[in-house]
Amino acid sequence: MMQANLPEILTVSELNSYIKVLIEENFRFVHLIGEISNFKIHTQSGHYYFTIKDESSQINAVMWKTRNQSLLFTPEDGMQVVVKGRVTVYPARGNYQVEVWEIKPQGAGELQYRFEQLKQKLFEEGLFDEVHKKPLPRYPQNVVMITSKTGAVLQDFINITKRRYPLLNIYLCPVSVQGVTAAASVIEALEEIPLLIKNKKLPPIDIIVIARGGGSIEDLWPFNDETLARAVFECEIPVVSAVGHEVDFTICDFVADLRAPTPSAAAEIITPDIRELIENLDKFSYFCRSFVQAKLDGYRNSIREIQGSYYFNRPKDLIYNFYQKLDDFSKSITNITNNRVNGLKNEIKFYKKTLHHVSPDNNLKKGYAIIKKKVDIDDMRLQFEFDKIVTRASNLKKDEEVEIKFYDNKKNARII
Amino acid sequence: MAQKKSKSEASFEDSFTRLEKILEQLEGDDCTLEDTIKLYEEGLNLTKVCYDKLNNAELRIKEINKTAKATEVKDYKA
Repeated sequence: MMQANLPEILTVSELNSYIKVLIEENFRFVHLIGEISNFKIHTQSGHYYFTIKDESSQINAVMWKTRNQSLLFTPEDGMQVVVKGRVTVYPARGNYQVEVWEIKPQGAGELQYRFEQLKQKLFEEGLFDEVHKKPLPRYPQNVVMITSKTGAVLQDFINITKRRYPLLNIYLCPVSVQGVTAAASVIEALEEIPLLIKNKKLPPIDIIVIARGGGSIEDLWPFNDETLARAVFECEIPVVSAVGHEVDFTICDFVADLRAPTPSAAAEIITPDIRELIENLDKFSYFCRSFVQAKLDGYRNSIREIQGSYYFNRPKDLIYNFYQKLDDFSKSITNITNNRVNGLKNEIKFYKKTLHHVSPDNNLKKGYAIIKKKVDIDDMRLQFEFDKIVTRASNLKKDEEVEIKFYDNKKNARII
Repeated sequence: MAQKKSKSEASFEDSFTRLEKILEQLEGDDCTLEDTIKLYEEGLNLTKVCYDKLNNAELRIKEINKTAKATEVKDYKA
């Protein structure tokens, strides 16, 4: 042991140097499991200082900037980790500490940590805020598809849009969607599209779809790139993110104006269904016809109503009133005349009756008789005889022939 | 307004949106008979335009092709 070779009296420096060699020789490589606490980043140097502890013990740890830059996440207090490193002694303070080279989170993977941390950071910056989400046009005309030229994603997208909304123009922007170049190529595409529109090489674009099929978190990792997220955020054209399967969420999904669960879903979300549109048109033309018909019918009815209205018919009514009055007059005239005539008729009848009573015939009935005698008209130089009523007895001579007229018959007689 | 462009040039969106407007106006209370007839004619013409567009539509796909020299937009070949 070293003990045997030690001088009788040691300086502090000497002892710490001995300890440093002793410890560092024996702990050149350790794996240490524990919880991070008291985590600090030195503002000037960028080195990480923290402690690693378990239930009953703790040890100081340092991670130099050159090492911590390759970490995908930033360690936090409370994080359960396994660190790889060595034990070092800092003689100036008589401290020992773990010099950490690598940190692996326990439980969730380190990518997951990185993801959560970036998500939190961008969320706090407001990149996911609803107010920044641009609405998608209902009837898009030109759509840019940023995706891989090969693979099912593009074909599925084409097939669905062809079926649903063949009015669409798709502009494929082929990019790499996996590996270290992926994020950069998507960013480049996002930056280039506005320039192409400006140069009239592309028409105005309604929607940009960033699409990629499903994969592991490592496969989808380019879409968790911070620079990519910011490029999507800055893009003035509405961006739909359709990365991975339904269960996969990426930073790109959060920052995009709309997240589609899958690339196929994106095709359905951004396009209206042509069958519905045709149905709407059918409904519209039917409605239009029947509506206008109903309106015209309404006008016709109104006209009819006006024609039948009281005021509109007043002149006609006046005429009808006159008619009625006229009729009344003529009726009265007829009645009065008839009455007068009938009165007169009755009067005549009465006179007739009276006359009858005093007529000679009527007297004959009572027993009176008329005596007539033939008168020779020679005196009058006329050649015929005629009867003359004898009104005085003195007018009759003896043997003169007379005719006695009774009621029923006449008899000849001779005066004695 | 949709009238800005000539009929053949108007996009489907313009035509369809205009149709929806027409419907709204037709249903309005202050639509005169003259307006009704005018809107009716315009509406029926627009439905025809929309029908034509939908029935004759064919999905067009182009590819943004990048070379060292320039970026071009050409027809897409699977």
